[in-house]
Amino acid sequence: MDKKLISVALSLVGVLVFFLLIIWIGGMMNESLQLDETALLRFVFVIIGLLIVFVVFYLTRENEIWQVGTREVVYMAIGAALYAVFSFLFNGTVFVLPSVSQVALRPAIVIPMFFGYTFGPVVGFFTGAVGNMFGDALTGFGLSPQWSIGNGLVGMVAGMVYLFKDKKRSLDTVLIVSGVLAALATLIYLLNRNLANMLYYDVENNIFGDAQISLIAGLSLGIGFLLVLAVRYFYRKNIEVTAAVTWAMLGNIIGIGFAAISDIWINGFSFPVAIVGEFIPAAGPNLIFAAVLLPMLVIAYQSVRRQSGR
Amino acid sequence: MLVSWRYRERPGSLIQSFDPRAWWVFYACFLFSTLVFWDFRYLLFFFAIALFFVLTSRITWRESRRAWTFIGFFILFYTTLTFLTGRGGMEVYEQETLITSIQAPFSIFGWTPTIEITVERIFFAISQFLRLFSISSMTILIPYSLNPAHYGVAFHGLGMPDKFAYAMDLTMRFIPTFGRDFQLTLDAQRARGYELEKLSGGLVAQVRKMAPLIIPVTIHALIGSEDIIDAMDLRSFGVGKRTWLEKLTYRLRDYFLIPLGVLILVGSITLSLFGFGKFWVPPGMQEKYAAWVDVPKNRQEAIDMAMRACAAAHSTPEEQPAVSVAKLTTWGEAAKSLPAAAQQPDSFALKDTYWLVVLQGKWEHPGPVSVEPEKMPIFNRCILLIDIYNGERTLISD
Repeated sequence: MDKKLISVALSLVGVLVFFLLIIWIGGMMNESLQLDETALLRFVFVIIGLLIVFVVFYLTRENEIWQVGTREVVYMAIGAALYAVFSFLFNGTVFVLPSVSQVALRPAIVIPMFFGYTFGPVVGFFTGAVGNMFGDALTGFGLSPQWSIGNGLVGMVAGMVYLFKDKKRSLDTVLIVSGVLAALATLIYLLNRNLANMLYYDVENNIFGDAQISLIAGLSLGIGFLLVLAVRYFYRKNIEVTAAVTWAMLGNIIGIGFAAISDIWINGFSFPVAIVGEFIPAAGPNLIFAAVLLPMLVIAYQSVRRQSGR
Repeated sequence: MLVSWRYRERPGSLIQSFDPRAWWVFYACFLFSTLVFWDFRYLLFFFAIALFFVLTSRITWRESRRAWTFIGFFILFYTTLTFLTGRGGMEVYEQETLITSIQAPFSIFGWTPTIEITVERIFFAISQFLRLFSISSMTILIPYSLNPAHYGVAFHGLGMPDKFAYAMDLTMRFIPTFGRDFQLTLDAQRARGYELEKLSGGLVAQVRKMAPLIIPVTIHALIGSEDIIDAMDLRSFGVGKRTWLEKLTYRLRDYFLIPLGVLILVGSITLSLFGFGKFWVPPGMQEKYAAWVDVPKNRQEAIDMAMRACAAAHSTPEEQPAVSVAKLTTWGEAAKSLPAAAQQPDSFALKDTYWLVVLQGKWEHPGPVSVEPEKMPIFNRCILLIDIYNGERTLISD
């Protein structure tokens, strides 16, 4: 294991040195050669994302949530395939779902959340990252590896619940942390209300990510947070449901936040643009889906487990 | 439970004669390399590679008809859309050169539909078409030409741990299955009066209405997984070191394909690091249709213009100034030769093309009258930037 790790690290360093050399030699030959970092930065952020995952894993490596058995292998595959199929079907090319005042209906995100929460962080990460990758490949367009990692983080964080012995006690901390983050993002929106919603496309009306963000979309993260609170109240007797929704909320904020913030460097967005134009329109609706669909999935799965006795 | 992709043995198919591991490596390199470029001359190279593999794949039109129609439709749809509206390309170009604008002979409520055809839109549409076609056709080839029995062992051979290789294998096998399950569920719900296309109600109500699709498909998949888990457990999956039924061996041609892919990738990244392969439009086209406002046609004209401008702004030079730089460049690059005080014109001008002429010489600035002659500032450089689109000039001296 250790030998493998060293060889992976060495080859990464080798690649880095190689490109630094190219830049250096190029700079000596012609001073006006300008470095274009966009392509490179994507991979830098993929590596940063994977490092985050690795650090979290390394710090908690003793914990049994990182064990991968037969079950996990199959769940990983099912999760990733489901996420790929759903995101392919609902991404607007196959079924054109209406969007409610700029909130696009993309329900697929509940899959990594559900799989992460139910089967642990490894399954969650694989579901989000690989599922997103295959979903993109099915459509045949573009490739944003940092968003795959971001989706992976959504699933992984949702599964971190098992690090805590007492699910119930973890909930309040997670709720407060997510609440503060959601409030901060909403505050940034309120201070920058005229920015464009870059994830909103409406071909018929000639809008390609350049319409001003609507009030609902801007407040969607706050609405989602209120829905999560409502779920906590209505399902207060079912700890599984409240825990799933709460942890999915944190995963959503961290994962999508990672992808959106990396776009500050990759696409040269300013911080408010990354938050208001990308983070909120992606994370807000995701949170609403989590609050509405995740309880149904968790309850349905609970009853299946009761029936099958597993 | 598993529905397979449309793989079958195709004798004489080039892509199938490669080892799947070699093909994955090549595919990944190809994918990342294509995404680096927006210049259609570079993209033509990738288009040619993609076309070559499609034509030598021995996949018949009959069996791949649906896939091709699907992606063909979307590529055309997106490309035409970008072409007509010009919106999608805004990321890679900021200035457009109008060729002609077609106005509809009618107007609706005072709005006359107008299509503006610009040089940039045409070439962006071409680039986009080449990019999308290259990527998606190479992707389509995979399910048709990779033996599903080789998925797992190929990922294993690429260095993934057994369990993850197997998970990837299963993922690829599950995708068509769940696609079919989704269709079945949708049909079943439709038979009960469910209408995906006519969701109504508020936001939460609409989200709730997605549940009859998402939940049955997911839960059905999880229930079905028990059989697979049992089957794998009964064969002691993950207990010891895994052996694979199929053995993959590299052949001579694989040893060519892998370095070729790596070479393409390294070459592409190197080129892009140096700023090559960005969106490109033939300068001739731009020149032909540009609305010229006293814009220099070539290097000499730009230099002459700078000489005149510098002489007009300052005193007549004491000696004939020497040209140190005269080239077509962007503001971003030009800024390197500019004094720090120079402001960029506006936030979008970094990519605009300018003639940059830097003259070395000696100019005395007349300045305000009160300045005593010995305190008169002397400039050693006179820099002129000429916007090649509208002839706008910026003069900087230090």
